Amino acid sequence: MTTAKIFGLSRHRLTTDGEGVTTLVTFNGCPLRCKYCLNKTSWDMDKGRDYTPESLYEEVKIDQLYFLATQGGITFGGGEPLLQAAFIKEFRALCGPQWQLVVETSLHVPFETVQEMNAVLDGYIVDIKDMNSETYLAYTGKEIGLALKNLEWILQHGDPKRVKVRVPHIPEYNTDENVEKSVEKLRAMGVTDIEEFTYIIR
Amino acid sequence: MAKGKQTCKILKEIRKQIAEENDIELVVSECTYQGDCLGTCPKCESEVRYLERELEKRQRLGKAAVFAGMSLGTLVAASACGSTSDVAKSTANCPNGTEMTDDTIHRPLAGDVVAIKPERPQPDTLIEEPLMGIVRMYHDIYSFDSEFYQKYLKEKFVFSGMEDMSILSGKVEYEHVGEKGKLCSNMEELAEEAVEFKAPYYYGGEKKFREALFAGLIGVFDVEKISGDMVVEFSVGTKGEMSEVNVVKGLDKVLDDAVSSALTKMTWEPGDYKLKDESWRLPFECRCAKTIHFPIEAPLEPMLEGYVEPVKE
Repeated sequence: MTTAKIFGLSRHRLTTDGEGVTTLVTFNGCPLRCKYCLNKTSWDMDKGRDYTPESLYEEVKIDQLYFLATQGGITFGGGEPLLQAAFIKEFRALCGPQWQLVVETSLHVPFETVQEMNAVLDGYIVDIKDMNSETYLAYTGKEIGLALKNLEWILQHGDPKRVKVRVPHIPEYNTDENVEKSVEKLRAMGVTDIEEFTYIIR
Repeated sequence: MAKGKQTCKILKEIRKQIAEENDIELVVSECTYQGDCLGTCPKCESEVRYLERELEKRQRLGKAAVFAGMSLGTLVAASACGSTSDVAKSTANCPNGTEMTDDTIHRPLAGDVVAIKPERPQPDTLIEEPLMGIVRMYHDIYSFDSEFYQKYLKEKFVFSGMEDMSILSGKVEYEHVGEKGKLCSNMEELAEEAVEFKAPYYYGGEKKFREALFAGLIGVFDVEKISGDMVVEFSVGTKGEMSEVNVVKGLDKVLDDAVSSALTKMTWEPGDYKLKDESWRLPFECRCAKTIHFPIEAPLEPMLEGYVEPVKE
């Protein structure tokens, strides 16, 4: 039986992470260690609650009517949701094709996982951090190569419009000029939906 | 307006629209609760359950639920722009400069993304055209001098080997090669071989065969079940007529019937017949991908049941 640790469910999100009314489901587990990680709880695999795809479906289907009426569904975040590929695939089998399934991902996962999940998902919200390899390494603790390879692949294997890439202004790590360069590189790769924003340090 | 109240207002509007579009009487009273609101409450939830029950009743009577491309982005933007108390971050979509907020640091803000999907066609406005889709065909084609071929030639099996075609792309990829001899990579080659061995073949080759097959694939297909291999046998008579179409291994009754029907309507180039009423028996496999893309979007209600809307012939 596939299980996963989930540390948060957030209902009735309105166009914030995917189309329509969505429920955000956040998994524990992440390969990155970002300096300003919003959900550091996700790093701890002991926290969170155990779910099976069935138990999650039972819990979130309460909003099916909203999902269907607004072309919404589930946004899987984390943590890194693509580390739970098997779980999401089983969940798709339960919820059917009508719910929109979107992942908020760094794409820092094995290439095979991305290939396997491409047909299961309706959209991606990719937090690319920064396209400069040194900045990426300094901020996340990992090399950017894998994420770029995966991003390139999903852009080439499906409608690029289903891929939103978020480019943050990261205090102390990049400048406006760096962000502009990242955006340029992403456009050159074929990304059409790019969103700039600023990390607010509290 | 607190964020929860704003969410509550938008969800209420969605419920009202669902009710209106489906002729459901829904009495929505103004919420007078003054405390913190999470966006929903037992009263709101009871309205959702009521709508679900009403929609189920209608479905049992054969009426499809209608969700006519509700524009949540517009609802959100309108709601947010009407608010002046929220802490600001983005002014997108708010002509008067009203700012909106979200309680998370890095997420897009309500009103930033306006996603409007076109209205879905309703059953009575569906375009009458055959279904097109990604359906994989699977032929077994062994070499003609292989043991298999020699063994079954007398029983009039012709196809052998393995060929995996994506119908839409027309790409042909071998997964297995016969032991010896000429292996047909597509129906054109098969036709050439068929001439030599005087076996039946489809005039026009693979492209025409696919067109003829898809032209006949009409029906309500159960999406969840259309996955896997399907094996169909048929006979080609002395005039190229199809007969004895038999689904040896089916996937879904409607799809099986549609494939049988499409095959029955075909006319093949006949093979060499020693006897007047002799016929060639040809088995082939259909591999159906789980995801099938249709040229028109089906209404939501049948999809809830795992079905795709029927398209009339």
